[in-house]
Amino acid sequence: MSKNLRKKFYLATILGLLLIAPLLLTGCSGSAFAASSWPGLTIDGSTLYVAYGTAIYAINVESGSELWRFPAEADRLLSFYAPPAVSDGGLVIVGGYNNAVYALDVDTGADSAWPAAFEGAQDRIIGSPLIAGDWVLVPSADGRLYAIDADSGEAVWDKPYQASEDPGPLWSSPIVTEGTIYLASLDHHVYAIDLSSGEEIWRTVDLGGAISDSPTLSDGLILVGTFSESLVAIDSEDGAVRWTFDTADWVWSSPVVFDGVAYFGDTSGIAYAVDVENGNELWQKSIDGVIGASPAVDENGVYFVTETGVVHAANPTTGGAIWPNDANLEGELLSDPVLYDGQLLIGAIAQECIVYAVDIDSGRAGCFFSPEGQ
Amino acid sequence: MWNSLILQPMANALLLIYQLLGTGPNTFGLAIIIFTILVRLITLPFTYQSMKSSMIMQELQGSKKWKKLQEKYKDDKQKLAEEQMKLYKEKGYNPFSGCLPTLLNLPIILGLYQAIIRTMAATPVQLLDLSKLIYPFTSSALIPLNSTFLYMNLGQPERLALPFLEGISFLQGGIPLLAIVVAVTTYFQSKLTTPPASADQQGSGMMQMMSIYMPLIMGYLAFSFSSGLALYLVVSNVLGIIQGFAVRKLRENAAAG
Repeated sequence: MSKNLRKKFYLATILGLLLIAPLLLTGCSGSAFAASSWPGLTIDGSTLYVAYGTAIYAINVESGSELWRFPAEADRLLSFYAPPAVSDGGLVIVGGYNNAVYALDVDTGADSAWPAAFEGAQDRIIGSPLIAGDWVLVPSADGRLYAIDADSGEAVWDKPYQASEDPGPLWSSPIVTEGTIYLASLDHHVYAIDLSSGEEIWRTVDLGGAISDSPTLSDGLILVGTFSESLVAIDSEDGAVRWTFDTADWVWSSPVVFDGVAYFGDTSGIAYAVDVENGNELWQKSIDGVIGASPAVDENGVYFVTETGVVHAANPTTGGAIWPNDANLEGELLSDPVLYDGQLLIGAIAQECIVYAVDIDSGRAGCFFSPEGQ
Repeated sequence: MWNSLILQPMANALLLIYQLLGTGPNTFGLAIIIFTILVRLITLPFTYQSMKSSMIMQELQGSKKWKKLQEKYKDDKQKLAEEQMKLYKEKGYNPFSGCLPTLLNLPIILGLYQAIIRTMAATPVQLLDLSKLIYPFTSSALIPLNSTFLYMNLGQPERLALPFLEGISFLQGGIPLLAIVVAVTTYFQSKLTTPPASADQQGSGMMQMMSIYMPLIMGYLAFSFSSGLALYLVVSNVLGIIQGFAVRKLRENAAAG
C-alpha cells in the first residue's frame, strides 16, 4: 500500500469512528440527535402555534399556511417544545431548551417586544409558560418558577419549590385560580403558591412518583397523574389527598375533566374514565401504544393518541369505539391534540408532517402542516 | 434483543445501586463510579487478554529478532509476513487475541454508557423511554434521579466556572475540566497498550494514529455530551490505566521469574 493510500485509509478510519462513536454511544436511538420532546401546540383564534425543534411556527388554521416562524433562520443552539402562551396584549411567549424565554409579536413573530429575552433560568424550559394577568409564569427544569413582567420581560419573583435539599425539575405548566398557583413537580409533590409573592401556601405529601404534566382543577379537587401508577385527587384548600385511583402503569399526562368525568391514559396504553367525585372507574380500554398525551374531549367523543401513531375515538359514556377503524398516522403522537372546528389537530414527532388533521366524525386523517426548509 | 439482553439489565442494575446508596445528591455520580468498577471487574478476563496480547506485541516489536527480520526481508513482504507469523507462534501470540476480547468488551461498554444516559433521562423523550426499560420490580419512586454530582449536573455537559474566567468571553461558561481529563487519561491508556510504530505495519501505524486521535475524539464527546458520560469515561480510563500497569508488572515479574 502506498504511503498516500495508507494516509487516506487512516483518515477514513478516523472519520468513520468520529461519525459512528456518538451513534453507538446513544444506542442509535437518537438521544443525541433526535427530538428531545414532541411538538407543543397552542391555538388562539385562527392561528395555530407549534413549537417543535429549531422553530416556533405560526400557522393559519383555516388554510394550513405558515404565517411566520421564529427564528426565521434555524439556529442549532435553539430548540423549542413547550406549547407557546398567547397574551391579550399580542405577545406569543415561548420558552426554549437554551433556558431563555422570548416574547414574540403575534403578527410578525419578531422578537422585539422585550428589550432582551429573559435568561434568568438555569435549565431548560420544558413546560409551557402561563399568562397570569400582567405576568408570565415560567416553570424551569432548574426547579424554580419564574414570574416575569409581561411588558418588560423582567423577573418579578422567582423561587425554588422543593420538599428536600434539591428542587425537583419543573416540566409542566402551572395553573392559576383566584390568586393561587398550583404547580406539579417531578419531585413527587404538588405545591400551592401565592401568586402575588411566590410564597408556598401548602405542599402535598410525597405522592410516590414524579408528576410530569400540569394539574387539572375540578370542583375544588386537583387531579394529577403520577409515575407511581395512579391518578390522585387533592383538596385544593389544604393539599390533602382525597382519593387515589390505581392504574396499570405511569400516568404521564394530565387528565381532562368533562361533565364530572376524568379521562386519561397510562404508559401501558390503557385509557380510563373515572368519576371525579369519588374516584370510581367508569370504564377502561386498551389502545395500541403508550398514551403520553391528554385526550381531547367533547360531548361526542374522547380522542386518545398514542406513541405508535394511533388515534382512537371513544364514546365518553361507554368507552366504545366511535370510528370503524382507528386512524394510523406516521410518527409518534405524544402531544396533546387540539380540537378545532370538527377537526383534531395532532402534533407528531416526525421528519416531515409535524401536524395532522383528523376529522372527528369519520376518523379520516391528512397532513396539516409540514415545515418547509427544515 | 439489545435492550432486553444488555441495556435493560444494566439500566436496572444502575438504578438498584442508586437506590442502595440512598438517592440523595451525589448519589448518582457514585452509582456511576461503582457500576463502572463492577462492569470493568466483570470484563476483566477479556481486558486482561487484550492487554496481554498488546504487550506481547510490544515486546516482540522491540526484540532484536524482530528487527533482524525487518532488515533481512525488507524487499520481500510476503516472506517477511511468513517469518513474522512463525515468530508469533513461537511466542504464543495470536494476532486475533488482542482484537477479539476488545470486540466482546465493546457491547458491554456501549451498554454501560447507554444505561447511564437512559437512566438520567434529561428530556421528556428520554424519560418516556425509561418507562419502557425499568423492570416492574424496580421502584418508579426513584424517578427522576438526582443528577447533582459535586458541582455538576450529570445530565448537562460539564463546565467548571471559575471567578477569574469571567472576563474571558469564550470561557465564560467555564472550563471543560472533565473533557480535558478524559482526553489526557485516554491518551495515557492508549499509550500503555499501543504497540510502537513500525514502518511496514499498516495495523501498527493505524494504532499509532488512533492513540493520537482517540483522546481528541473522546475529549470531544465528553465536551459535547452530558457529564455523566465524561464521569464514566474518566473512571473507565483510570481503571484501564491501573489494569495496564498491573498487567505490565505481571509480565515483567513473569519474565524475571
